[in-house]
Amino acid sequence: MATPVVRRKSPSRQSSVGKTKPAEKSGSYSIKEAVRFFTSDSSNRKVRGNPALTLAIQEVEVTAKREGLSQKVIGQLVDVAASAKFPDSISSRLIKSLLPSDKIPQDAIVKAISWMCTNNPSNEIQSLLVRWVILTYDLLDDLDDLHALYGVLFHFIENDALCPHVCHLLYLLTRKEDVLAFRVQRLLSLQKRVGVQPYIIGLLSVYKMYRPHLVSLVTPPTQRVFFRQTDRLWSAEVHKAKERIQRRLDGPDSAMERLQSSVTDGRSRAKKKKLDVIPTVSTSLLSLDGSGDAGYQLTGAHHGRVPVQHIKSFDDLLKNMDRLELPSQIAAVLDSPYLQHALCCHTEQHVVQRLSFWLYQVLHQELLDYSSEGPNCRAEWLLQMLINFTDFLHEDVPVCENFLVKYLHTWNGSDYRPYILRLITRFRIYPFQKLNDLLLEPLRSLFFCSSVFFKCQVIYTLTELLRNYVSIELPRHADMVCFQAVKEASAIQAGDTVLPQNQLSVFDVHVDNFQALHTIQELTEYVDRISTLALLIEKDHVLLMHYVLEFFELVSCLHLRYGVPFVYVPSSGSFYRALFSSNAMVCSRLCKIICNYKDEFQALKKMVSIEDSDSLFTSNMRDGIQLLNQYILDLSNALWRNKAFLSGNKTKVFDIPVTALQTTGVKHINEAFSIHLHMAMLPFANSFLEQTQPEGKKVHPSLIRSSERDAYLEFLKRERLDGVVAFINTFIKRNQTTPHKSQAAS
Amino acid sequence: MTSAVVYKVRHVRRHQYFSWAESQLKWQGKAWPTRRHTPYTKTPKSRRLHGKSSKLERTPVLPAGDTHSLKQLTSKTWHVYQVTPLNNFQHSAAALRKYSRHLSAALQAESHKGIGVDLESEIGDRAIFSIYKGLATSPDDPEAVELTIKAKGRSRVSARIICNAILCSVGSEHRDELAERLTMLPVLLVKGTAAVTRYVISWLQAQFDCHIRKMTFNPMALVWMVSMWAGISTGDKSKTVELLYTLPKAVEGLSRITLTIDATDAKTLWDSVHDEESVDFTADEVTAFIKALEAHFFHHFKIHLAALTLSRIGTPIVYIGSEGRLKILSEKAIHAVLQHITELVRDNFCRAS
Repeated sequence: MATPVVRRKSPSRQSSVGKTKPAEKSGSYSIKEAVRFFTSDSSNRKVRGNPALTLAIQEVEVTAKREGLSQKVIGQLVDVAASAKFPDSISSRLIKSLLPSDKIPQDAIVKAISWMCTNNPSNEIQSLLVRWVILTYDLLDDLDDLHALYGVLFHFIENDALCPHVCHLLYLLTRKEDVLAFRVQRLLSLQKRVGVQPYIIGLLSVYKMYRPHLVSLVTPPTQRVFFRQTDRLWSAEVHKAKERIQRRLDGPDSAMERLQSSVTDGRSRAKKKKLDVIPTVSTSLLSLDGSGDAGYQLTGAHHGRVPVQHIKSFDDLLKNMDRLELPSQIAAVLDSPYLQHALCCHTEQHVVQRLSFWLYQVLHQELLDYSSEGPNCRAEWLLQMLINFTDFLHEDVPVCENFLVKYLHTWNGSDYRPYILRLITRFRIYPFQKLNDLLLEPLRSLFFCSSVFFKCQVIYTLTELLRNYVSIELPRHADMVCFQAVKEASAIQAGDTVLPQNQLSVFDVHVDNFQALHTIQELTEYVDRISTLALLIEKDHVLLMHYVLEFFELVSCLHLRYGVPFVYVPSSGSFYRALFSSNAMVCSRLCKIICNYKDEFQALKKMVSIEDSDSLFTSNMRDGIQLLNQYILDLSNALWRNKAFLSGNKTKVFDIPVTALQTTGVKHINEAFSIHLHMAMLPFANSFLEQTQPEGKKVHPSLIRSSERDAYLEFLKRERLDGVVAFINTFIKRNQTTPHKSQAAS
Repeated sequence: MTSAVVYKVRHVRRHQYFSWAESQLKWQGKAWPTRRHTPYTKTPKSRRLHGKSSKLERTPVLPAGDTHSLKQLTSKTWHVYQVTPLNNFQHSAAALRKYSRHLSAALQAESHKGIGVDLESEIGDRAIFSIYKGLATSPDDPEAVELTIKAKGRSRVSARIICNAILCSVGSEHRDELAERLTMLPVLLVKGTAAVTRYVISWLQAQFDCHIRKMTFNPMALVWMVSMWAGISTGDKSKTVELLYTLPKAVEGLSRITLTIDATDAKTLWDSVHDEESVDFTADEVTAFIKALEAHFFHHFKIHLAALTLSRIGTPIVYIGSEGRLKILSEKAIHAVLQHITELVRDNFCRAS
């Protein structure tokens, strides 16, 4: 080839090479400039100390990896790399980044081979070029021109460095007419020279396949790897580029693959095989051919039902939703988000029962009957699918619940823990006694004999369970009870009328009519109780404290956020442990929770005055108010008013005989829990003083005078202790000599 | 409650000056709620003894020509599988013909895949579904279905039966409402090579959307069965009551212990524990029976059988292994045994809601 650059007639070429303006984005270096640098004759070709070259090569590499290079750029860069204009190190980096954004033009390949014939490029570059062609073989826009060079390529097998790669390329290119006796001869003589090599065997085996009479070679029957992949990183990049192109071609429809469960990628298919608990989507011929002995029919023609395999796009799915034939193995829906939508529209009894029977058996088989050591990844996969499914439905699958109850009794607390706890949060609402027996009791026995981290997880799980109850299960329970009453009434009135379909739940579960609110109340009390004990056992571990506070943060806004007419004030065990905690986060959040309660009670009082609730509720509320006032009083006495142990207050926690107080020997004991002297607050008081007081002065928290308290509060707010500040702003009437005893409700 | 005790002690020690545990006081005397609901079905307190009750009379009187078909169930070792309800299964002759054709085609296609090269993994080429009369006893039972798979073999003259399977439900009581399209045939008995069994099971699972799993019998179930049936004598002297215990792997030199009792002795013991008037066999009677055997064994060998795992039982009417193998010896006992297994299998199904 005389001219290295094939002049193509594309008008854009000149503009890109010659006269391109600097990139539109000011300050950024574009791929065009990089290409111009490489193609220009006047560029500095030194490797060391050449920032322009570094910049250009980096730009090419980054762009190639991110979005791939256009056809034109690839053509130009092939010339640059193959012409040995730049040193080999640069050329090889260029070749490795020749990743296309769309297709690789055949011209570029032809050019590369032409350059190889000139012997300009070194052996290494030549072999890289061949490997590049092999790796990107699937991305070529056409093969005819390349195939025309078959004979030329064949000559390269004499080059020992190139031979393995060339054999691989020929292996890909070979057509029947290429298999000629002399080529077989050449290969055999080569084999005589270099010994039996897998790549030669590989090429010969293709030849033998096309013309068995020409090659009398015994290939081993087992599939052998003829050609080894040498550069994993590179091929990974090419693979990514292929995926990127594929994704763009598929567009939004690629999501339908999940509906079809057709996995193109070899690796994930292997993975799937290992995890094949969930059957693939298929339509049974039997179920379509429902007409008895009529023989095979064309699928899809039957009864106007459309099998799932015929659904190719989401539009199809929507159009055929009412005529959809669900997969013959219903469990396949677990793997497909689209079919789960379909399932929700087909809640016939047999569908649900099939799924239930299958799920229970498979769960049993994979979790309870699984005997070998080590984790069962199929079980994990199944549980994850189940979690996704329940998340989608916003309700638990009843059999899964039954299974879980059974499993919990033998559970060691560590197998599949994240999955099991996650499934527990979806539990249905039951009378508390039942909930306790089925769920809380096994959890409790594990709770008290496990590490603090497990305790945290359980408290978190119960918090989420409560959230599930108040946000989903409680309204559903009320609706279900109502729905059942209507159904029964209509069944009595007219026996044969079509009953309204159950819109509330996919599963036809009969719910008992019980006071669901009582369950919530008892559950809250229960969690309060175990958390208090756990805090004692774990010595107020701060992580555990965090989860306990999170629980009460939820409880303290049940009415305002979730509309549940219920309130529960934390027991003094949890409350005072938090108050005397050595962590400011705990104190601050506690204060915030108390503020929440005040809003909650005010809202509830308004509601009660409007509609008369049952007596239990009002007495419950009276007790709550009493307790809350107690807390508020103690908190404000301790934090702000420096009155903690004053005998006149008669509070629960600070009611200690003066003689006993004196034995402690603490001076100014009433101030010991104020916002500047509280154990948790001391560091903040210290850093506040360091900021405000002159340097070098010996500081003591008592330096914070009442006049500076506002500044100190501001400081606390900046330090994100909003809770404390909010509490003081809510409950303490400032600017008065005697702070007003403020209470949430009379 | 240990944790509560711990709590009290520490509370006193650490906070002796504080009296703020007032609200805890309401919990201190209060134990955690006791359990009232059992989470899963337990073994019933008693089970109906087949043959003693009126159930036997409900066994259909078979036409003379069909009696041989029940005979073929006996004296063969079957593998027991449990099958969840079959979807869209029909008993009509046309439907059965269709299933036969489909399965035959599937088997032929499978054998052409080249897997069945050697004779061992031959999976046959002809499947025949047919109704198996005489097994269903209660009105809720669907008719049992027999599946026979034949292979031509090398001789190409006579087809051999290489797999025999029976799907049945015996004496099941109507428990839960089952959807109309589902058919409850929970027990699958299979006799055939591993390859063909596997293939047939996967075919059934795919076509009728069911889940098929090997039935296993835990020691508790085996104890029940041996106690219930030990006293049923067939009059054959050679048939004994047998209990096979396996030892833990840690024990060297001894892998299993077989306890064999003469049928007449077993009958004597059985009569002494069982109230003859009653049609039920109770859990207490089971315990008494098995305790007596264990005490006897301990007296002679100083080995506590209760500490070992019971893995196979034999009675004059049936042999059952824990891994799901079954051999029925007496034709009269077929219904009793299969009814009991049906019950056990259905206990394993969760209540489908």
